[in-house]
Amino acid sequence: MKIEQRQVNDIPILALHGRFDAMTSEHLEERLKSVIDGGARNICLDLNAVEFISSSALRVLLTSLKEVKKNEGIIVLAAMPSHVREVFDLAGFLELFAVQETCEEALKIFE
Amino acid sequence: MSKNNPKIGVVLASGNIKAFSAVPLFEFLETEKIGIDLLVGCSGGGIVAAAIGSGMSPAQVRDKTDQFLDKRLFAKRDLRSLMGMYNLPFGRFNKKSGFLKPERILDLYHQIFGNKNLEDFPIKTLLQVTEYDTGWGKILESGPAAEAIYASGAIFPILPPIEINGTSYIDGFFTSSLPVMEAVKRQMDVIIALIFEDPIHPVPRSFLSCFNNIYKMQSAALTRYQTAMAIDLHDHEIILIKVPFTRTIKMWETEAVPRIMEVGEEAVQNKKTEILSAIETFTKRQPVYANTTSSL
Repeated sequence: MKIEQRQVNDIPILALHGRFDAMTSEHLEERLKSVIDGGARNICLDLNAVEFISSSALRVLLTSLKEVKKNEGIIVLAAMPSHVREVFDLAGFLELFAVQETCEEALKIFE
Repeated sequence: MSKNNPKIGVVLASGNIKAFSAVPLFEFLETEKIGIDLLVGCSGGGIVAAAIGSGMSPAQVRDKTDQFLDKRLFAKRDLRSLMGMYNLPFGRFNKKSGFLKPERILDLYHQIFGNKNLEDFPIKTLLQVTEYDTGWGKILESGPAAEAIYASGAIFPILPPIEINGTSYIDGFFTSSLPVMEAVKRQMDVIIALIFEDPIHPVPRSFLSCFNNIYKMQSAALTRYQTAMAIDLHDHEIILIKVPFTRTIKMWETEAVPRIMEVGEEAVQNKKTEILSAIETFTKRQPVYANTTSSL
């Protein structure tokens, strides 16, 4: 599990790599919390390199979504591979998040 | 056994005969010696949950599958109800009606489950039903098993409701096709939930196909919302397993049984690592509540 962070036009883009489950979702939670506590209102998550995501990691994303929504922010999910998209779909999470094909398209939402 | 072993819940969605594709999951759990603490089922999933909950081995359920799929179970039509649908003379349709007569189905459940009550099952088994008069989703966990299993799959108006202790029940599908929330409420740590995908027919050519399509859309939407809420409220892992069927399978298609089992095997094969990992991560996890108590 690895999380890379970059910033484009004040929008933090977190690229998630590897497996996110009950063991690793704590790190994801800490990273997202630190980004939100650092003042980020909107966040883009690049999911292209996610091998696996479990319900505990989905819960972390939902908690973060609730946090950014307090400041009228959003979390955009970008570049979801089909196996990840299926998890979000089954879990009913596709309807909760903004979803874009690429990070570039995601960034346009914030313009 | 570690004190930190997770409580395991298995939830089986509605899906008529397709729900028998859950058998390979139970075979896998049996091979891995993973005990089940709770079974929750709806409709077709309720039949399989009850079979396992009553103490049948997965192999026995596999062997009995044909028994559940006898075309004769669905052959006795209720002509008065059918005529009533068109307001024809001598026809009558009311809240007790159904296009099919339920006696043969109930007889089969009595034959298989005897006069056992749900509370007597060796594994705690819950069946999702819908209260006909209020529209509320309910869980049956005690009382006569055969009647409860029928209620969970009484897809009105095809099958009539059943009255149990003065309350009329119909298929749990109408309120919670995948009753995963019940397993969350019952404090299961690792929840394995099977969804039997039934594709929307792209070119429906009959009244029933159109009707089924609407049922499927409504159920899929409801399942998504309820699953999202269950994940939010849960505190370990919910493993969602989609068992993908490419076409609708009718209740009496006995020739489809080998394919049904095969689809189930493939779906479970892809999730074995995830199931084992969810159990392992729970076992390794710090006993949070014990620590909290000792620090007070």
